[in-house]
Amino acid sequence: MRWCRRCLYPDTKVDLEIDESGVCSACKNFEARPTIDWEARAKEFVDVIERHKSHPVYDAIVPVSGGKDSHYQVASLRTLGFNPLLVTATTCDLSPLGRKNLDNIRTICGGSDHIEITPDPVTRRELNKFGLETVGDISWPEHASIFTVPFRVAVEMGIRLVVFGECSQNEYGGPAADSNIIDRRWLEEYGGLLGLRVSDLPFPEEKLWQYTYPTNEELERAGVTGVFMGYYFPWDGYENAQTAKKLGFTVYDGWVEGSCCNYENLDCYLTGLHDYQKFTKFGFGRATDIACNHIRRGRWTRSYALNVVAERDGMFPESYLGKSLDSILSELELSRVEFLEIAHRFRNKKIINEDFRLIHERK
Amino acid sequence: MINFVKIAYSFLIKRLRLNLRRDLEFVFVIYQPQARNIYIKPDGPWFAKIGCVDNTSDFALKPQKIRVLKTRIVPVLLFRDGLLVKGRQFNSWRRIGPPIPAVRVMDRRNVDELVFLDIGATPEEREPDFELIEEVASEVYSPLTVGGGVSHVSHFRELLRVGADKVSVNTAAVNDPSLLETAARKFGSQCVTVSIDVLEGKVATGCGSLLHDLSPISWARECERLGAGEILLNSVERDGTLGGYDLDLIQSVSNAVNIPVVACGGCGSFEDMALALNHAHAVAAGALFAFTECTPIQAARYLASRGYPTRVECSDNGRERIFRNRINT
Repeated sequence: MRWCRRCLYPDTKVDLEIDESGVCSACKNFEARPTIDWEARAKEFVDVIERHKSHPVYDAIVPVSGGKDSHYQVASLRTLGFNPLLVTATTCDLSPLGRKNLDNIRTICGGSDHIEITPDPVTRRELNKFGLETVGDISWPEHASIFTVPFRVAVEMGIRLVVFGECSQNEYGGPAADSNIIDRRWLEEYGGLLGLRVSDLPFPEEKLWQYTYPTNEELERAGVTGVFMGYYFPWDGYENAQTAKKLGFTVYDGWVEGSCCNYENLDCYLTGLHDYQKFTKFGFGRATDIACNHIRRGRWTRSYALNVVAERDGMFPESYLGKSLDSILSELELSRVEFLEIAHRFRNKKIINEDFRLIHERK
Repeated sequence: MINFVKIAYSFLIKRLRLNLRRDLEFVFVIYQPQARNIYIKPDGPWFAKIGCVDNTSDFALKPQKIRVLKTRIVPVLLFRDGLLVKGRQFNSWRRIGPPIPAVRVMDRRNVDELVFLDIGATPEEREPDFELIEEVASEVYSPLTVGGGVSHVSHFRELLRVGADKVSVNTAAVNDPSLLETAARKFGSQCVTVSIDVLEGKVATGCGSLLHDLSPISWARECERLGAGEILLNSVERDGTLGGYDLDLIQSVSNAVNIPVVACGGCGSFEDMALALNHAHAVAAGALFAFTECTPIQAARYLASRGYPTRVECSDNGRERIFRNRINT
């Protein structure tokens, strides 16, 4: 296992390249930022929205979770003078903090209309278990739905633009780093679906409607496009969090378990299980992502980050946002033994040992 | 489950020189005892013509085409440095995800066959990773072809022992063809697959890095002669492009040998598969399943609707029958 010598990403990260000098593609993308004409891109962004206006009232759809990035996106659009429709694919097992932030986001900058779509929670629970057992990712349905639900609403309401936030390919160093467009192919290739597709899910079609991406015909007829705001503005989750806090966003009291920040992933209790499985598959967790973002922007030194990550990364999810593992598992009707068995099944035996510790030392 | 034809009386079927696999299907034929001289002639990769030579018999059996084998749709997973990878033209390898989730998904899909290649083994000059293959084999019930770094008969033995059904060999076979003969003799042709990568019309080994002055047709013929049971034919130029198979290559090699040829390299759509199946015995795809919404069962449905015999069929009442290869627990 090799680590980037600037940040802390390992070469086991999907779609990441570490070059001969030891620098990873995420760092290189970030270094390229000053060369980009951000003013031109900001103008382009306004232009994109203007060109896609079709609905008499709403200028675009903004998919929101109520989190820091969502707040930033809504605030940006409203201050630019647009009227977005906020669309949330409500997560399963929503925390009170998540609920509070969702209630807040529709009040900011003059207020926005907000549609919350809650896919049938009975099926959702089954889907979560299916994701956990088949590909070791309890958040698989969530990751699919946050893309598919907004596009469905766009098609059904005749709103031609969906404005997503961070482009993960750019932030985390993938081959599609320069993409501003998000479409079905992007989701299949870069959306972290682990090889699973909606057509694999053993549920009747009508139960999977919200997880099903609109067909090409539907999208063409409605003329719907999805874009990443992260292409048009230099993205920074931490800065977005500061902006959001001024607008009423509430952070967690302390660093979230398995991570090293208090401002992200505050809405779904299952995220702890997801992050833990990410660590056991790839050898790094959410703390690494946050630390790398800080390192690149000069807020943390690498050696400081190394200590933080050594302590926080891959923490066993004994609790998440204060809710105990036993309580989370009992709602899923899973025993601890079953969960551990699943974790072992998907553990990458080359990099994680039987005690769920990294075999190679981070350096 | 092999359904045997009940052809009784004086007629004996000469067993076609085919590998006995689960996709073998014969068809009930009822005929009059007086009709002798019934023949079954192979017609293409998986059809046969059955007819009656003697025109004077009372019962004249018109030559009919019968299905003998079903084709296979084979996903290919490539493994390197701890993760699954996919490249373009055997280059620019991208890490696409961990192996076990993808293997489990393929198992869930009940794929006809799965090819798992450890493409890091030969470049890293190491032998196959038996622990990894054991883990992979334990997660998938479909027939599993394993390759990468196979260079010795003991590798065959160990891979089969840990759960592979077929072992694919590439570089080592070109370097020492007697390996094929030994392996076929010890373990049987049905588990010896030769993987042939073709670049600029010639055979390439070492994960596409070394070009040999060897034509794929003559190499394929040699492999068949030595006892290989199947050929996995890959076009380096088409690999990962989603731009269609190299149909000329597939046709020329398929026509040159009697053993099944699995087409690989460049599949971008179900129609590409249909075109390849005019000559090849089965179709393999990597990027198609990794990067697009296409799944093997959708491919099977499409091919079935075009008249190709797959493990998915539409029966007369329009309901699908899927040939299960496991006992459902």
